[in-house]
Amino acid sequence: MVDLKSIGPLGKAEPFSQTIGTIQIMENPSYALASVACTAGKEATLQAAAVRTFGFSMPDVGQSARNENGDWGAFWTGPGQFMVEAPMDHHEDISAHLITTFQGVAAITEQTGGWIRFDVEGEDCIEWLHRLCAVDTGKLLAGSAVRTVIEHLGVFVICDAPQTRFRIYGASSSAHSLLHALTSAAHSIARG
Amino acid sequence: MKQINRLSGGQIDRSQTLSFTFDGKAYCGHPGDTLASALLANNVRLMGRSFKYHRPRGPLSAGSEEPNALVELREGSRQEPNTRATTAELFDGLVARSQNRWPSLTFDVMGVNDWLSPFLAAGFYYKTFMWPKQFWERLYEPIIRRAAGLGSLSMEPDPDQYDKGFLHCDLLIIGAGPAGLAAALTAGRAGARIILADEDFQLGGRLNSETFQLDNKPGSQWVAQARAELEAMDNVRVMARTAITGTFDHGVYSALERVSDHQLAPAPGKPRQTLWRITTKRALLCAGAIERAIAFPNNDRPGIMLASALRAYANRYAVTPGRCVALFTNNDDGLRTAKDLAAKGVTIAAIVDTRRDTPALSPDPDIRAEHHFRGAEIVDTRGHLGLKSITVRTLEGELKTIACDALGVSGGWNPNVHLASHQRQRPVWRDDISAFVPGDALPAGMMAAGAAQGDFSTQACLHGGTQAARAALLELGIEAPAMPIPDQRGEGSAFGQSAVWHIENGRRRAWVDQQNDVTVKDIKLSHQEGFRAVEHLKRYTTLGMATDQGKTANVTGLAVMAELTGQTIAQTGTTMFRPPYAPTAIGAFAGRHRDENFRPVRKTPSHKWAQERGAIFVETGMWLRAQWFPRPGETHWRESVDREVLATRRSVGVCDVTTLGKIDIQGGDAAVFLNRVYCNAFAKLPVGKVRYGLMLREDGIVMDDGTTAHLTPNHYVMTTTTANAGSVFRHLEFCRQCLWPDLDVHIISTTDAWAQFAIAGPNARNLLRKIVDAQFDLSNEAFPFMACADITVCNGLRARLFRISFSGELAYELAVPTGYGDALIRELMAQGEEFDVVPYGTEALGVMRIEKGHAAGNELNGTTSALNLGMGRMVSKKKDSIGSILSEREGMNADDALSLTGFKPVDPTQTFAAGSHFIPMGGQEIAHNDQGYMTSVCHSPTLGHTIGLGLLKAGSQRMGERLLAVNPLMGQRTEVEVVSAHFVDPEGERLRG
Repeated sequence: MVDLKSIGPLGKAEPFSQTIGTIQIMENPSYALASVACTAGKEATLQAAAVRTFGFSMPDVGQSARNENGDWGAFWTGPGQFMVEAPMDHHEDISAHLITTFQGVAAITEQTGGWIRFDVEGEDCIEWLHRLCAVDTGKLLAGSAVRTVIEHLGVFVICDAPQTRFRIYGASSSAHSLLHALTSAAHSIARG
Repeated sequence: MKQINRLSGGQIDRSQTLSFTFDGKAYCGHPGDTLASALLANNVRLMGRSFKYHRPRGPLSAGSEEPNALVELREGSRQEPNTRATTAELFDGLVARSQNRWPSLTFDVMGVNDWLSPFLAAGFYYKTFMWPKQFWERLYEPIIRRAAGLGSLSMEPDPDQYDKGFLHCDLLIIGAGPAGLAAALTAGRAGARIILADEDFQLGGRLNSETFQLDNKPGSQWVAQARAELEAMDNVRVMARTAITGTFDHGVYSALERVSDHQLAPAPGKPRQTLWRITTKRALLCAGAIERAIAFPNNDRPGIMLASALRAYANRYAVTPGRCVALFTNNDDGLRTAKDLAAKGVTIAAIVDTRRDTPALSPDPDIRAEHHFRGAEIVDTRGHLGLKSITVRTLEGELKTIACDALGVSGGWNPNVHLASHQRQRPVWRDDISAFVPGDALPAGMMAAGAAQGDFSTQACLHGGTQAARAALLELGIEAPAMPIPDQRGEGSAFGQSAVWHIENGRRRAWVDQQNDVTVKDIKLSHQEGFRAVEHLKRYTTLGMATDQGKTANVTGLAVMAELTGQTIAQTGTTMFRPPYAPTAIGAFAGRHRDENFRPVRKTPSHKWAQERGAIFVETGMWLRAQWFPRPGETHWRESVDREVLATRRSVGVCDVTTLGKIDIQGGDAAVFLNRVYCNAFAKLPVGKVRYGLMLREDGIVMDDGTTAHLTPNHYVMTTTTANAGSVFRHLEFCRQCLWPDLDVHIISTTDAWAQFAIAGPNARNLLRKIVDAQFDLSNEAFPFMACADITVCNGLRARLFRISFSGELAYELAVPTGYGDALIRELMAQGEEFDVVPYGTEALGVMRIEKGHAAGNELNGTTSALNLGMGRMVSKKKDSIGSILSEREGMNADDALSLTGFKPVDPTQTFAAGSHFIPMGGQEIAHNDQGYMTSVCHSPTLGHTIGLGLLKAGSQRMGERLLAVNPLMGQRTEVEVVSAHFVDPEGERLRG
């Protein structure tokens, strides 16, 4: 019996990375994900636990948060629901950690394998996003997190730097289809 | 060939020469030309044949309203039929061909239709092709289909890409003529976020086609400055080559951007066209107006065109279709054409003005006063392949034949009201300009300005544009200063537009809709036969259909009908306006969604491994699942599937079942929640146990089934069928949020988060023992049938193990985090070598579940109840659950209700098909004798013959009975015996072993 090795949703050991025109699309497999759903009436306890553990309050509607050293991040996914992420190196089993953190105040579900994360950078990001989703991404401020649809696939789009830096989370099973949309939209706007 | 009709000036780049061909003949033009302008420059007036009568035709217009000059562009797989030569930008290497003719454009055999026109009047095919009845499909339809469609398709896949996108703005300005540009400058300078879109490749609209000046400079120069200013603004998106094609709810507009249509082929990776969805806060319709023709006898010859088009060709493209031109007008605007052409050195043969009281033309050395016929009309023309002369009936009734090779016709202007009417808004008639304008009830957030609003002078357009932009922005809380209106010289303010719609002259035909060959006579026939409502008129005559949607014809057609009915045009009304405003390729609607990207694909964690094994895949919803795994030497799918089934039942097989929906259900009220959504009891399911669950719809019909595992206190994992994963999750969310918001329960889909494999067969436990970490006891006592647990595998990797069986064998489902799925299947195969482990696909999965008698999608088909499926007793009477009450309806509980049973052929060598209906032996094969139907059929390699599951009336009480399974579609009749649905291990000893 051997130790099992994980591969990414695109079926490769190495994460995807490509620069098309000014758009750099990088698969980022280095974060573990878990969903946190607050038990009704336990909001304050949950927030206190979040501040204590992460160093920030759980984000408001349409927002994301991250602590200073980048250990923990979270974004809003629904009323009382959040996705929490942490570096895979230290928190591969993120849900076990969060179950302890939020004992009795939230339902925790492991989500790491369910999603693929793409980090995207480039001066033409907004023009690129225009071809992907119906969100008015040009107006997103740093930290904005929106749930939308790309290529008929449910995704989260998170703005890390207005106009130029975004994160996109899509379902892992349809990672190839999502990537096709991301790259063909980039080719579509690439100059020269 | 030399460009003998090229004039001086214009907005073409003479420093570059572009080569192109039309019908195989080489020509030259310049950047800035359209195909039509370049052909006219080369003295080619004949560009097409009409749809029905195959009449020779040239361009009527110089814009997107063109009904006649439709051509096939490009070659090979890029061949594109029915393209308007008047909007096709010229590029080097362009290949164009005329269409709808044989063998050539100048000699078209089908031109015989024109001689047969008395027999081909409107509606002729409704009457002609009625009999004999059997001729319709065999003869008439193929002939009509061959004749229809004008151009031809290459029948090859389109090699180009199309894109889609989404834009947002405060103000969308539709049209970049004087009104649109003034609005854009006003709004842009105020800092509003605007989109300015125009279907032309040049902004400016009519400013490009006129000679008057704005701020002491040519209109085109003013446009260039405005464009430069707008393009320098960050808050403005200027979109040339972009037609706004539709108005939709909530301020949403569709737009088609022709990104690469002006190139031989798109650059690599670039789309040919992009379909945009624009979400606006406000929209301003500055779409201008289209000149309309006058229907006079033989008004469709090549060389006869709208007067404004003649002016556009002369001023913008520096082209004239002929050196000796006549004008026919009912308004002052037509006179301007004569002046502009004369100034370019074109001979004005005649100006035929329907108005008696028009003042004489101001002294013009180039136009002779005796050539200005007032109160006159054109009653005929001559010239088969191109205009040679016109016949004028003067005010005094005298007929004069005047030689000319081009004629400009001006019947007034129709504002472009289409986009203002896409949501059933009706335009209103204005007598003072004899035209429809947008009414008061515009689409929410839309205003109109300029010629689209009926303001035809440039000054009024500029003023209207800036004022409308200010008004629109004020509603958004943005104050915009008025733009200084440029000083404008050379254009009179009065247009003197009068209503003259058609001219009669005996039996000669006068065309109203040139694209569809609809004449004044056809409209009269429509009226005579009772098709008087405008929508009936359109269907009966085809007026206003096809690529131009009657942009130059509709109002004239309505006017003729109004004359016939004695109603006003306002009373007659218009037909319904519908998107798209401009022809839009299906490719643009499809965007990136074509071929293998037609829709998103979901891949299982073992996909890559399965591909390496040569698996054949099948689509199940969006998923691609391995259907079977062929081995060398296997030539038929059945060989592979039979082998997989037998090997699994003999030893052990592994199947990727990740696609089954997995829903995490947590919370203090999770058990209560489950107990309400499942019809069977769930309240007391102990931790560490799995239970089969049946979910009903409100109406008592089965919605879905699956298993739910109780992993830890207040934490359950529900599995659904692959097909219903999404709909069940949606149903649960509805229940949670709307039916029982008071329950403490959270649900979240984890289908993608876990890779799950079924390990089935007598050696399943033995194989698992080599994978599962040693501290977990897998013995039957410690981990019995329907047990579940959080475990670890392969030295500590967290996993979930469920002892459940779809195959009827000793079986487990093992789940690991998705990323490890690929490694796990490889390890299972490696460790299973000693047991001759096989992977099995969905076919073997299906065979084994039929052998076991498990219901699946074929049985849970939206018409069956728990009772039908033999699970009536599962619907608990001790609790309330969704669907339980309505499942007790009398009609669903009849004594002879359908029930799930097994079937085998009486003669084992015979087969039958799913979908067969059961008829009593000796009974007539009619619906009255129908006893039920076969739902699932397979060849059972275990039993060596075909087996089936089916729904039979009172089936459970008819064991041993013989019936006929009839399949009239395949001509199949098989004698079958009713047997238990559980063909393999009916006592369930294997799965409990």
